[in-house]
Amino acid sequence: MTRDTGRTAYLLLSPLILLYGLLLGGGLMVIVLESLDYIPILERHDVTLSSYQALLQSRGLWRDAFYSVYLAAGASILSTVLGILIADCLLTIKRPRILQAVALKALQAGVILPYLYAVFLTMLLLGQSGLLSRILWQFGLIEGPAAFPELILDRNGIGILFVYVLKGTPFMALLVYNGMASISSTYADAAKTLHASHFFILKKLYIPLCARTIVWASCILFAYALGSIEVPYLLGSIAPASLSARLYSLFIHPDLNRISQAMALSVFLILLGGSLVTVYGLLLKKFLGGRPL
Amino acid sequence: MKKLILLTAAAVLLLPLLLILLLSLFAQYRYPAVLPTHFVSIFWRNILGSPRFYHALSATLLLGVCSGAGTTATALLAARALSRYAFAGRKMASYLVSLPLFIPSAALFIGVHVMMLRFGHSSSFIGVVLAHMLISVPYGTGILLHYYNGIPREMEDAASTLGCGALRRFRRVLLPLLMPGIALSFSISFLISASEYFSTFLIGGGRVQTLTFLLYPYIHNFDRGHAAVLAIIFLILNGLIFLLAECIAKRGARSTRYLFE
Repeated sequence: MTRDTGRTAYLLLSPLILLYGLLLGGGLMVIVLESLDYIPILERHDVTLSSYQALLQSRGLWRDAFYSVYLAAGASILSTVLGILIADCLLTIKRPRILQAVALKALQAGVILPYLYAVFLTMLLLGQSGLLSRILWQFGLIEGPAAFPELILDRNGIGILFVYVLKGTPFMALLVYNGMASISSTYADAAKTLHASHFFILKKLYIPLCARTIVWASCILFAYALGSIEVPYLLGSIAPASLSARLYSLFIHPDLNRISQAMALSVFLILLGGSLVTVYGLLLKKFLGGRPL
Repeated sequence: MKKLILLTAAAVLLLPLLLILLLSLFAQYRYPAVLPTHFVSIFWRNILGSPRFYHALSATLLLGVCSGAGTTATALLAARALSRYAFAGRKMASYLVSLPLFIPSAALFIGVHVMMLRFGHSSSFIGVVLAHMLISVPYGTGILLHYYNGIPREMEDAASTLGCGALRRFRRVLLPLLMPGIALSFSISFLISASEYFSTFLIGGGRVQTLTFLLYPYIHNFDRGHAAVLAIIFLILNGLIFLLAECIAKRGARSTRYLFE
């Protein structure tokens, strides 16, 4: 780093700063202002906290918030565990190379698949007249579609979780696989000569060395599940609804007075998301035993 | 055990795609039947015969290319700054790059939407491109930073000593080594752009109609056949982009393993 004047670096970063500053920073600023009922277009210039009051008193807010967090945490934890498991299998399985190749291609297909298609697949698989239900019928295990448990549009959000896990697991597995594959086998060989078990090597060696990647990806999955709209909108129940679905219905509400409430809910979602992602990331890092970031 | 896990994973991901393929070709799918029957081509003919489909296809391609190019250019510059220069706030900056991914997207895109409204309706296409760039740049920067860090500084210094100007140094030394990263960054941004539904719909205000936009009502109404046709076309399109990137990446000197790092 010899020819470093900070100025060149900032110049190189300027498109990114402009993009983030304008859309992220500007967007957040407008959201906060409008949540305070300062909306010049609607001739509202008085700053009040009434939308926050209305928000906090609105029915079912905490139930919905809890539901959102349940979905986000469930989706990211399940995807992370499954992703690490699959990555470990991919890395250590040697014999049928074809299986490794097919599994890799399948994971790549899973990453390519958009969320909207994952929703479609989930309807086809888990709906009451879906594939799973038909297969169970063929084996005589259920009497008809009505006997199949409601897995989509249900209160427990099984269908929603399934979509997030279906999309999150390949993402996590490929990332962790790439991270693990780049770790020199010397460590593992040394551990093996000392009679370390496979699980011990995974837990004490591979996972800590990949902890940064895992935490990063897991936080992304957490935030995505918290903020996605189309998935809970298409597969969710009416109550409890996820916060993002609730936000969207407020946002498109024809009553313009609801705008400031929608913005207040956005602020709430961002604060909740930001703090939870931070806590989740720190806890996960501690749990995985990674080095300080 | 390991084989079983991998087989299950592959089956869960691949078998539904097979079902989708069958659903695009066979119309009758009454309850207890596991697989659909009665071959028809009406779904394919309906989709491929409608002008809306071609509009959506070209809009998807145009959006993806714009977002991919914009993301990759922004990320190239940012990655260079983060890998080659020591400046105040470098560590902070490398974390802040991922920030858009950590904000719940519903709130993030509503922010972008109200911001773009200030620039007027005519900018809806640019708004969608910028919104897609916002969630692609973190990935692009991560990928290119990885590739930049893999290029020894001495190579650039040697080129300078031999009289290469900045532009020539980039073209002759850096570009060939960065090429796989550039291809990957472009294809992932393309993929993200093509997959987005909510931001395209919200910020484009319904005027920017992509393939996912076309698909949404079919899924909402659970119109299996047409949704299946669109799903297959979409997967082929994105698979091709990915294959292209992989081809370019394989030709490059570095490993293709780092799919997302």
